[in-house]
Amino acid sequence: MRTVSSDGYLRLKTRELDRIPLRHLISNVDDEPVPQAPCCGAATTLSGYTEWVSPDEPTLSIGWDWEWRTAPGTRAGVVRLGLPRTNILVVSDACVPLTWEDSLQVLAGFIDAIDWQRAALDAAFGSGNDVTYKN
Amino acid sequence: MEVLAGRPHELSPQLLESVERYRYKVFVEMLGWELDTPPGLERDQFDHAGTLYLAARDDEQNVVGTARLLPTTSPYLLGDVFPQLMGGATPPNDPLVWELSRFAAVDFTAPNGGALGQFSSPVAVGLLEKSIEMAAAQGAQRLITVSPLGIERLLRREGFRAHRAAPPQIIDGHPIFACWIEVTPRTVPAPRSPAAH
Repeated sequence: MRTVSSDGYLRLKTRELDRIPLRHLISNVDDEPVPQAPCCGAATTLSGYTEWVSPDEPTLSIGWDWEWRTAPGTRAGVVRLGLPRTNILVVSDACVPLTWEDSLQVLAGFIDAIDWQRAALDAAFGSGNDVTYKN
Repeated sequence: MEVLAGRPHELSPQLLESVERYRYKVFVEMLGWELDTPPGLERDQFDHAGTLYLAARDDEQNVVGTARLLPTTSPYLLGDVFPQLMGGATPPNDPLVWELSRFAAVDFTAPNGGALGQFSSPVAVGLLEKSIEMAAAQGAQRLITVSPLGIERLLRREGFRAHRAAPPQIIDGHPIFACWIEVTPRTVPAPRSPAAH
């Protein structure tokens, strides 16, 4: 059974993470620019954030920023921007916590493996329905 | 900018009144919070002789930011009013954990907008650094705070070590969450890069 530690982290092994369905909670479009590193050839016109949760308690919470990316010669699309924000701390199979940065990198890979873009955009632009992804 | 800090008996009555007027302007007039508070002044049951206040002032002595610190071993905002933001976990009751509340750093001369409207850098950063310093002096190792979702971005962007306690909840139309902040010096973060797709 998952429990939240006294330090506020929900500790999960990677393989446990893979078994938890995520439910879309909220997404929105930024009404102010998100500072970012300049990227050669990219022309960003839209950005926002998206939030996802697990259906069961204690609730896993993970959110990240996104942007609509259009670059010359590539197909336009929505991409995750930066590392996620979360209450999850990923631990090894031996239950040793990863560093915070490594944990966020693992979670970023997890995000990139799911189809979150449609739900985020639908919700951000007001046409969203509840979406749950079973990983 | 200067940041003054102390308990009520360590601060001037004029400064304390300026803090209450500033808080009213931010939380009642700007953010529209429905608070049971005297006209023009904002205070609640957590403002008392033991409350630790911080006030940022500009060169003209105008208050441009406020915060307050409370131990979680006594009544505090998250524990008493917003325990649901802990996502089922028990709110902390620990001498090593202090609560940061009524945090505001509004630049009223700048256009208001977006999730970070309540927090204009660099006042917010300076005020938060001083809050962490004051909390550390009280023996705190971590802060817990009730915040609009946008503060998490600011914390990440400015290199503060923080993480959410549970999912955000929509309260009065705004996404609010409980946030843990480590009482450690911040590190300047590397620029963000988009994911490879």
